[in-house]
Amino acid sequence: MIETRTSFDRIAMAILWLGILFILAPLWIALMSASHSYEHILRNGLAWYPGGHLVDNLIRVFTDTRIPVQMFNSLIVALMTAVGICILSFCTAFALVFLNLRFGWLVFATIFGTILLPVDIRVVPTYQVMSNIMEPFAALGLPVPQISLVNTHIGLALPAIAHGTGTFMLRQFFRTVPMDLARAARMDGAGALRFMWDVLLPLSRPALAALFVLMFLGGWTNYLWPLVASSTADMQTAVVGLARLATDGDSRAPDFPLMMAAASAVSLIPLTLIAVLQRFLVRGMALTEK
Amino acid sequence: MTLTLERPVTAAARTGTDIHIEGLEKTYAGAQASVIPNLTAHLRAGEFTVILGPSGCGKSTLLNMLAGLEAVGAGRIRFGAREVQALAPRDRGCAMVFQNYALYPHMTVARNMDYSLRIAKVPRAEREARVAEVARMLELSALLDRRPSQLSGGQRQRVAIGRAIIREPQVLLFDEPLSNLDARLRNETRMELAQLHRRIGATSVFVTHDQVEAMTLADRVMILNKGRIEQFAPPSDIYAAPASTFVAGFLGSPPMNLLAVESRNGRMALPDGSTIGCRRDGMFQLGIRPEHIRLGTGAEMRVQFREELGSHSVIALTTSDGGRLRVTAPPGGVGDALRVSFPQDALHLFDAETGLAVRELLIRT
Repeated sequence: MIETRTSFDRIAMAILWLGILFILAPLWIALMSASHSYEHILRNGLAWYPGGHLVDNLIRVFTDTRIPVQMFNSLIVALMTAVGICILSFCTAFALVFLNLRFGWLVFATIFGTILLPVDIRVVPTYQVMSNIMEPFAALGLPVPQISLVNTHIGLALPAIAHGTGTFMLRQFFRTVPMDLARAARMDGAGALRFMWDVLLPLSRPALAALFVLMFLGGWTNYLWPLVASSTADMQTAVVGLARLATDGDSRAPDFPLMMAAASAVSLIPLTLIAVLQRFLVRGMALTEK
Repeated sequence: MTLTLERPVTAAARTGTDIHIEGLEKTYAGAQASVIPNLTAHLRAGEFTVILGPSGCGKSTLLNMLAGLEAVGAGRIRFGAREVQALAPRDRGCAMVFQNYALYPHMTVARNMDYSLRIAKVPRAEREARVAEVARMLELSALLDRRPSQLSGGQRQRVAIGRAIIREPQVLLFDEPLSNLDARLRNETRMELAQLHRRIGATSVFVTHDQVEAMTLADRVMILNKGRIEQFAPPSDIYAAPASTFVAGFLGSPPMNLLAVESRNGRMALPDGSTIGCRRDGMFQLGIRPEHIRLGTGAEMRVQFREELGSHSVIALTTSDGGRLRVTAPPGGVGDALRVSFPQDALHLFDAETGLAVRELLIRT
């Protein structure tokens, strides 16, 4: 602490609590509105206080909407994204830091480019690639079949996996690993892969856990790409499905209690993950800061 | 710590091997000058060689090339009869102790030590026997299940040494292994290393920039300057007869005084007022160690400042031509001026241009 006076502490705490309230208020409204009936919300607007229909609304989410299967999709896509990024960026960061690559800087610059150009702003060309991943070969005149990954789980996860944040994070972490460890392993007779597996991987466990949590959350909350790349309701992710709930009804007003109940249900998995793996998440934030 | 070793680790470890370095060269990509232009040396079997030099002199590069961690630019390295410069580190029969220990943080002491044996697929029973033996020798037996973070600096150092000697290397390489220890521990570990070397008998190469380590540990010291060997001789020879001004100025604490002198008509006037015969006329650098200067007689010089070190003091004097002369004196205060004279047999002479010793030009009477 820079300041230790109690009056300063109190003011700081007050500001903190205000901030927490500011962030929690929308969540509170969502949860409260989810506990009222459709008619009640129509009459009174969004609610600040609890009602008695929470369970009914949740049951409706699970019986009347596609949210359950969409949550399953989200789980698959987020897991594939997180695991894929962990494996890919561990390998690329390893090569960048520990192998003496002649054009390592160029590779790194290219990877860094994916951070500067996220999927959101290159959604059209990404869609084109995903609609036929063999197109580059076809353009060369090779007789290859057309393979489309649009509207598949892999297609939803792949563009997110091809993203440099993880590589960047792990590269920064690897650079804090003493170079002498790699030299010692070589003296002990370990090759590059053996060093990667025996020494670097155990040392990276906290960093990888942090990366996994961050990327899982990213994969779960991704909106634009899943919206574009999934064409059927059964392939959409939960976040996309949530947005669709608002536009489902044609004539009557949106079913806010249902939407709010669904939103609460969908938030449950990432919330649980954060609660359980908070420790790693904090460490991950510290890693990205370096 | 006392070292107890009833029998040598193995026969292989007991006998080191000759190291022949022939025409070794190394230039880094993009650098104009070579780190090591052309180096030839013979390190005798079982010898403890200390490579000493300022940072950037190429000593670590040389060590890395011996270890196989860096590719050789040109030239050959032989361990005994085997040419090793093209071999991987694991095939050279050498081991290394690193500056920051470089222990694997997630492995226990035992795992750290037997990792190389695991990779070499040594059977479990033999691995355990060797770990037990090395641990006993280094007094690590009680610590085998600990992790490096639970050890003190000295203990980590011993694990690092254990990891190196468990493979019974013919060549043991040390990359400034003591520089991370505090002063007291460094002294202790230095003495342990000397004992250990005598017991193991591997040819040892020790890189440092610390002249005390060099003087105390080495059978022979190789002094490197810009990748060239300035002198390669036993410590006492280097102290008694430095081969160049670089060596003279590098070794000794405080280092040797170097004063510009000129010889005319076969005689040379010295700053202490005396003269000495010289076989060649011209400019020279006169060398004299601070501890060899006699006090009380000779020319009077003004005292610039004094450093009190307890056992003795170091006094900086101003010579008549404005140069600085350091002398060591018994502890205690001195006046504003001191009389000093140079004993003839303590004088060193270096060529002013090449910096090389030309002691034989002096005509001592």
